[in-house]
Amino acid sequence: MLIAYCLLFIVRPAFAGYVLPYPSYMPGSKLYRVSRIVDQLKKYWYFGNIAQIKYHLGLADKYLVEAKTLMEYKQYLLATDALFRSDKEFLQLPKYVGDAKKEKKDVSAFAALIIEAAEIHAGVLSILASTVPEQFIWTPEKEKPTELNLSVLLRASQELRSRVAREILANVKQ
Amino acid sequence: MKYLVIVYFITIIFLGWFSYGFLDPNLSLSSNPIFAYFQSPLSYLVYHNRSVATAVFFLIVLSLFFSYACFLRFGEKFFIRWKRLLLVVIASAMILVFSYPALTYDLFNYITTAKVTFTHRENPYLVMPIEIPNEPNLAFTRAANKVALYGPVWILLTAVGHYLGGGDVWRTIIAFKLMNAAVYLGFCFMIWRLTKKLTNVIFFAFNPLIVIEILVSGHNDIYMMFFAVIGFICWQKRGLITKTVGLLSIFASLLVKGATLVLIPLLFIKKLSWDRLLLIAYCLLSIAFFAVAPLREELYPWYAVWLIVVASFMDFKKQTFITGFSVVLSFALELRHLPYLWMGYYEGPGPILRTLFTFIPIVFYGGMYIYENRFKES
Repeated sequence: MLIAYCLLFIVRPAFAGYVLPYPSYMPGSKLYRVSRIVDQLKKYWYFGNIAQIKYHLGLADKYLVEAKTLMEYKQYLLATDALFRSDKEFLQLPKYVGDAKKEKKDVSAFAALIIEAAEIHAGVLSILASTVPEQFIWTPEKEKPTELNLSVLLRASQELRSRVAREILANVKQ
Repeated sequence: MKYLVIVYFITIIFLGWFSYGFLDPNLSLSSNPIFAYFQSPLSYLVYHNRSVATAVFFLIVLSLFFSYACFLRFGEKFFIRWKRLLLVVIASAMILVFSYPALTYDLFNYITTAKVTFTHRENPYLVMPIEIPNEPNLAFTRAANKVALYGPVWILLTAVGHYLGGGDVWRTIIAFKLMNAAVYLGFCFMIWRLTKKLTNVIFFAFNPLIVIEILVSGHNDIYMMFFAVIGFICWQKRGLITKTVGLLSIFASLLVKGATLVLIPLLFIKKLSWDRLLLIAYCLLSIAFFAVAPLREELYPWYAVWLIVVASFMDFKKQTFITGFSVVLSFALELRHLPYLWMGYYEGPGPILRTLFTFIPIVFYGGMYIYENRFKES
């Protein structure tokens, strides 16, 4: 009984906050192209402003995880492409939050979700920034090399997310 | 017999009136003081005097089954003509269109899902009603934490009720019920056209389970069966176009509610007579009803609509067991409402009571049937 009481006060309940998805198909997989096409087609299935928020946030998460995994495998060129896509999807969110608000839908819960997602994304990006080289010259065979300013790109993505979060917060407070 | 029709109408009117006692406390249908004058005592009865309300509902069910049994026994002689029967059926349907969906919240779920789709213009398969927290319908909708449970054909059909309702909850309820009544009358017509027997129409139209679950509670199972029956009628006929229409209709039925999936094997059996098709369909739907449906959720009374519809097209002289079983099943399933009405919650002794209420009449009927047949033989 005593132990039960102790456990009750000592052990803190764990709450699952915002969770990023597992990595999906990666470049090189036969199904990667299919999954990208499906991602594009899903846009039409996700009609409605709330559904669009879910769609773009889901893709932003998915592509961020893709970028993270690729960076861990030092596939920096592909990783930056995935990061650009994640940024692009994240950037869409304020429009749909605004449109849903215009339709008089209470989107405060979604706004909070996006702000939380922005924080988690920023956390992932900051870990990546500390692990990847600042600059990287990608030299593929028989092609021109590409200079990748990884730290600048990662910082820009972080800033984009905080800007989106601020914009959404301001929109919801209005 | 004339008095029986009067008794039936009195019961129907009383049922319609009594149904308003179940009005959700969070739902205000009218601010008219006359409405409140009639409704308040009923609500008090249903929510604060549960045992009496349960007894009242039981008496209504008994009265409906008594009328049903008499109509089945003497109806053909009394109604004589199809038009006369149709008049009574239309009148009773029109009365119940104005009843409140007393025994279920499913109708509100249909209404709110339609609102998510057509007012909020969100995909109902992705966005749950609860994700629009300022939606006023949430106050009286249950299972709002689920995305759309039914197929796209059903979602499209709800547009009719949604737009006819014009944003007013009461009008929307009535619009949905009008649609149900229209399909119900369509079935009566179809049964008459195919069987040319008034008893078959009576078997369907006055069945208390059909009356309560379709005309009062407004369940959508009747749409699934409507498309399935039309589909198989067309499929049985010759001609490529008719067969294609039949297939499309069966597909539409699947896209209302998936239970008719069990009927798909019937499409592959060649030279299947209509009577045989009905018999196999009844057996397949029984499997879905008794075995599969309880695995998913529980044995809901309105699922029996599938069986009653199929039985309505059968030759009653040949299929005495099935028709009798369907009547007993209807009675047993309507009794399943009693534990909740009495207790106000589904748990506790509810599940065991519901099982007993369902299976005791069925076992009793089975025993009686075997005994009678043996007795006749000897």
